[in-house]
Amino acid sequence: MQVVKRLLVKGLTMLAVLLIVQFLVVITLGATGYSDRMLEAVISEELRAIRPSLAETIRDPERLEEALTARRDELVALYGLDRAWHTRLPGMVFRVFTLDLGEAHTLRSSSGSNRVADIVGERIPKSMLLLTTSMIVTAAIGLAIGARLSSRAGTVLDRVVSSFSAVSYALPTWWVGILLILFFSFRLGILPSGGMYSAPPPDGSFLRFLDLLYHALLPVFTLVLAGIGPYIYVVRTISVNIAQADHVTVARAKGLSDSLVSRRHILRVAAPPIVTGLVMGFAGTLGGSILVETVFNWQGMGRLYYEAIAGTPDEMVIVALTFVYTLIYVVARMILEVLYVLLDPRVRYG
Amino acid sequence: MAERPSRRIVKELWQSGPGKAGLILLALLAVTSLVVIVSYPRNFGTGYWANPGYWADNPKSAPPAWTNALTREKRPRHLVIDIDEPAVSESTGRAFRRVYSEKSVFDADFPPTFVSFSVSNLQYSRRPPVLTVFLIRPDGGEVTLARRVASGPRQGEEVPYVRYADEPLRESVGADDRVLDSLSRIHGVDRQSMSASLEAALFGISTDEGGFGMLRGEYTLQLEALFQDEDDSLGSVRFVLGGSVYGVMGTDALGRDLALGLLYGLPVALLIGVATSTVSTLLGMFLGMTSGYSGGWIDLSIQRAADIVANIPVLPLLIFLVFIGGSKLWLILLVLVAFSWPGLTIMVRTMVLQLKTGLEVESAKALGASSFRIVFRHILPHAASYVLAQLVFFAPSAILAEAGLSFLGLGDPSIPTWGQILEYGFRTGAVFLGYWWWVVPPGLFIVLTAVTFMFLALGLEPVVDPRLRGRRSWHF
Amino acid sequence: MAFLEVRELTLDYSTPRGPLRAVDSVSFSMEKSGTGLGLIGETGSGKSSLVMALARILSRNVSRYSGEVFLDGKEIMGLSNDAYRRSVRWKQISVVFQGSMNGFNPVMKIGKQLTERMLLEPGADRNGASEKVLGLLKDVGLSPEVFDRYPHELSGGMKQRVAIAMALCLDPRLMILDEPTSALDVSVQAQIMNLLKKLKWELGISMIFVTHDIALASEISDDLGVMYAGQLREFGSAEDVMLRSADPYTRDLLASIPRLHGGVGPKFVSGMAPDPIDRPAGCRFRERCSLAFERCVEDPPLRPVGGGAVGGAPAGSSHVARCWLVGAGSAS
Repeated sequence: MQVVKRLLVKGLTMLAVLLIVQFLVVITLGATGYSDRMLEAVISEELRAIRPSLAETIRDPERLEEALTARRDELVALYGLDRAWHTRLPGMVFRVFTLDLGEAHTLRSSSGSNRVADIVGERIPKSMLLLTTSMIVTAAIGLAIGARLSSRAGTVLDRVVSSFSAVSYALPTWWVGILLILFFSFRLGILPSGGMYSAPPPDGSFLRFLDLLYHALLPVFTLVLAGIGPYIYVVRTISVNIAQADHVTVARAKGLSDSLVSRRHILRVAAPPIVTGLVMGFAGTLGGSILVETVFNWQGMGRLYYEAIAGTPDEMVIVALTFVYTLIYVVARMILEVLYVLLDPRVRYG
Repeated sequence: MAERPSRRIVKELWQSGPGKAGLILLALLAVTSLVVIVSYPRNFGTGYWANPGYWADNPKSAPPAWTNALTREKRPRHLVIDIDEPAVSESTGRAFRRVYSEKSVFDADFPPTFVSFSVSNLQYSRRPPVLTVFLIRPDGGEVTLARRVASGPRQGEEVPYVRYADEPLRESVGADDRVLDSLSRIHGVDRQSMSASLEAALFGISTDEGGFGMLRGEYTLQLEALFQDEDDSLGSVRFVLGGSVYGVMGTDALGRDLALGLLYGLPVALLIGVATSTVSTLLGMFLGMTSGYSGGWIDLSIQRAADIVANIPVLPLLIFLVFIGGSKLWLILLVLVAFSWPGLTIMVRTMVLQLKTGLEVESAKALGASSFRIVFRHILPHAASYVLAQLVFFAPSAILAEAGLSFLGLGDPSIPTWGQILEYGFRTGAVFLGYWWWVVPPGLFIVLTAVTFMFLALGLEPVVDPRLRGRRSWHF
Repeated sequence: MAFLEVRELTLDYSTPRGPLRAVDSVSFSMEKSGTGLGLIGETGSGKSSLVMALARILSRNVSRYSGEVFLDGKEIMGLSNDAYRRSVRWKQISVVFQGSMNGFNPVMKIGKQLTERMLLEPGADRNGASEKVLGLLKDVGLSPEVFDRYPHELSGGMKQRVAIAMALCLDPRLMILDEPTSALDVSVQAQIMNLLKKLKWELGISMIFVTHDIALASEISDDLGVMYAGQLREFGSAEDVMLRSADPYTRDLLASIPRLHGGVGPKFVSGMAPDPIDRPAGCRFRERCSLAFERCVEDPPLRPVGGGAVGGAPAGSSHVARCWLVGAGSAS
């Protein structure tokens, strides 16, 4: 069937994207010597760990060193450090995929673990919370306003909102966040300037949840504010185009009410290209969320980027983050592709 | 053929509201950039902006000077006094005494934030001069701010001994014994209460509540230099009364004049936008034309590549690459270009495919023109508008991307950008301290530059789509 | 009481150069229901605008819309938009549009689009509506499978049949067809025409058929009206207008139809229709008319052919033409 073929092609492309990003990351690490250093560190770590237990069985210091050196050689061979970095590629790619990237230098997860997988893993849901909430709010408001605007195309209101859309494309999302902190937190003092919870967080899960919402207000508002402009414009323009289509004239001639025509014959028909618009905006939202998390100290993956760069640089954390973000993007794209197919029967048959 | 496309495009742009606004803004930005490029020193980034010593005399984190007009209370101006010639030059019998002095009326509601003095180009032949710095208050009270003796001759050094030629002697007045003694005599208060608010004590009168009220009036700053020989000399003296406000756009935590930094960022931003979009456009055009004209597996592979690259989320990968590769501007631009060509490639390819069977190309072939020539000469004019639109559309995203990277701390430190100014402000907490003059203008500049390109893109809408020509979707 | 009576229907569009009078005070009537009226004319004559005005399908830039329309004796122009929508649209007057290719919602199944309007009627139920639609599909010669198909799965001819079925779904009094076959190829065209003739015969439905193809119009029309430059130039029974045309424009138009036999080549009408925004005074065909004379600087009203009262007379089943040469002392 057409739809299977279409989804398959898209799926393969997405998979290629993921793999290519991975290869790019791994090749860069190899070519700049990072992967060598990383493996050295891992080996040194292991040797340090087995030294005490070996020291108990081997008393003679010379023989102890010999045993450690032998072990080291084994490990070097095992990890492939004695070979050129490009021969280790497939293994490295696999490690990245499974987030088996060892330990971070200075960063720690909230449970105290310094394993990269733990540190990154616990941040994923927090980022997802921010991302999905802002995307849903943006989509909902964008649809509502964009649809309403399409019936008022060419009026003053339309032009004002369209100008705002154009300007909002030029706004750095994170700077808007800074402005909002300046105004609502510093000036008015009614909203928190950052963090996910108050310090100390309130007792009880319901209060904690409210506290979380309270802290999420500004970050979500920032993301929505920055993303909604272009989205409204896209919805409006697509709707305006479709509103001029023949089938809309027919629908009106049939005596259908304006709201029925708007819902069924304009918006519903505009849904597939609007979903495409969402797709195009998603990469931007993803990037924006990284910076917004930084500004608002939202303990998600984006903020982790900032912390990993600012502290003793934790390159493995950054590798893991790059991979996870690409993965999220790929998955979200596929979801939107499936949504598109469900919305537009033209790609299903014929 | 019709008039040259470039003139036509400019004319069309001028017709529409946004196009006109865009052109005017672009001209403004370009002229300002030229002025900056010409007047700033070449090593502004590394030599000045990154050099805290250069800004040592500026107040730290000070709002712009014009905010004084908005507040009821008058904040102290930043005062820099340079003196080259002594007011008094006499012989006391045992020494030569030169006094460098300057009067200044002080009428603000708050005391200066610091007092500092600098001395440069000291020369002596036998004994090093003794320098004493005084502050004479309107009420007659005299405070000894500092007493210094230049360092003695070093081994192997020859007469005349020169001090503070390369780097001036600069000192901020601190709460040391000498100062506190003078002050406690004047105020009749114990030394503890004054060391906490030294400047308030220097420039105020003690009040009953235990604090200090402002003493307004004429103050005199004096540096007395006692030389052994008449030929011993002092080059110049500088006094600085630290203000609370400074300049057109205020200062950051290092005392750097934000106006200078922000202006410097303008040509950088324009460079980023224009360079990235130009190269990416050229790349996109080249690949698009190759793909469309060659067909076959070249076409297929370029298409697949474009599809994949277009679907890679840029920022995470950009962060990684710059992090590993180093924070250099050329690397940032390179990565941005590497991710931006697919859009135009596909568009150009479509045009080439359409035109490939068009009459123009057929006739050109018939006349024996080579493939490359055909593609270039005949397809280019048609594609020109689209290409221009792409160029204009991509520039703001490049500028914003670099700003975002700088904000994360990955900016090129040798080339200050608006994003870096914001990064420093954020990192030092300027946002939470309410230093609006630091965090608002850089963003405004970014928005202004990006909006300029957006206006141009909007104005180009009808040029790109001839159906819209004359019937604009936009009127301001 | 005439089935349909149109009085002084006027439609203006606003343009940057000024108002464009697309329909200029047109009056005519259809005496009996169940008949077919063909409206012919060249592009820009106002025939489409006329029927769109009749069905109150107005575009955004309409600046004037006036006149009276009586359907079964009840005036419908004066109804509010809401009342019109609920009582007239599709229930009394329905339309089959030009280019029904794009006249369907691409993401909605055909069946749903057909039942959509029916379900708005009070007391309607889904099953009853579906039954009716299936019946209509059969009437227009389509298989019941079409009910569950999407528009892009149908051919042009099939879509046009669906459009006709859709226009019939509420059993309207009057069906307006605006160039229903111009986008179809000849064989499909013939099929659609046969279908329409059949429906007219079996269901007794009144039709107004707009086309630039005179031969096509003659197939289905009992009466014919000829439009030119926003006005009716000739109106009467199909036989009268085609065989005994009295208006010089109509005659020229008929002479321009190529004939397979007879050895006479088609005659072309030279010149162009006047600028619709800035029409010259007097008879609008004057510039191109070979029979123009002094009186033609005055715009003639519709005059009965073959004698009768001098002065304006509304077109009815009598034969009228807009020419000073018609009526008393006319030369045929």
